[in-house]
Amino acid sequence: MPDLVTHACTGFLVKAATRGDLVAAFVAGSVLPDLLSRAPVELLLLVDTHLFPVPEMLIYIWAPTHLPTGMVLWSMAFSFLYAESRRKRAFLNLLAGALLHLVLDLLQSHQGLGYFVFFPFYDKPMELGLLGTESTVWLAPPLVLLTWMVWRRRRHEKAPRAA
Amino acid sequence: MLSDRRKRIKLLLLVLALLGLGLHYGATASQVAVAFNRCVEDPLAYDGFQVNLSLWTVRAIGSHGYVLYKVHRLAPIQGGTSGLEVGDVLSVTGHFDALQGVIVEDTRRAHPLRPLKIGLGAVTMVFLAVYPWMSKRRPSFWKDGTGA
Repeated sequence: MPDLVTHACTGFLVKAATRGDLVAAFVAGSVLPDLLSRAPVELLLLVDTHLFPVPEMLIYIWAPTHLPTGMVLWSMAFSFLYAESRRKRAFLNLLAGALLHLVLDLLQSHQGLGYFVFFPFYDKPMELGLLGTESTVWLAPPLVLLTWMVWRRRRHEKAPRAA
Repeated sequence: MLSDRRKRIKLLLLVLALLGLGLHYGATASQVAVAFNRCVEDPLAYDGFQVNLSLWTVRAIGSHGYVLYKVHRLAPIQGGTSGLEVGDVLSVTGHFDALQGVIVEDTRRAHPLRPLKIGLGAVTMVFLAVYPWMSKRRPSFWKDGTGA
């Protein structure tokens, strides 16, 4: 995965370019794949390394939340946080953000050990192998700056103008 | 499907479906991902088998090689050890030597920026958790659909 800063900023910038609403849903969609799949694994690995052995199944069970089938399911689940009138659009924004996340991740190289994009229907991993797994770390600071500039600009556009 | 009707049952079904997918992944896909498993289970059948180990951690260093670790699995690697330290994160390609029970290293890539990447993830998590609370008092583009 590119780092989470890159995912969040890319999600924001892509959504800002469309000038649509439900920005938070789109950005949440672009970071949730890692928060739902990687964050618990990192925590469990820390427990496994420093405290006590963690069953292997508990390490792998989160992985589908980072794959399209799982993304559809959790996007539906999180869309229930929104009012019914906006729920369908919230679902689509969450899912679109998540798919953007996956596209960025597919750019990376894990030496052929990519992502099971069509899990559970097809069990061959895929990746494009164009970027190293940490290549985006240096991209994060300028992306944060660009995101902050666009954010400020959009806030000014949205703020009520004095008569 | 996304209406309020039987909302709790729908949510429960979604969570159960995710759990089912996770269990299925744990039982099958993880075995596909970690090809080294197959070498360990049937060494002679997989002599010379190409192995890819992505983002494994150095657990020990010896005179002729080193041992990598990831999720309960130890992989002995035969290869150079200069510049290696316990705790380094590596991606290694190699081929399995059934007689010695080791992977002979072909290529190796270090990931010195891995901790920084994880740190950026942690910072983002904190920011995303704190920002909505901080922004309650001011108009924001961030607030969905509320505009100013």
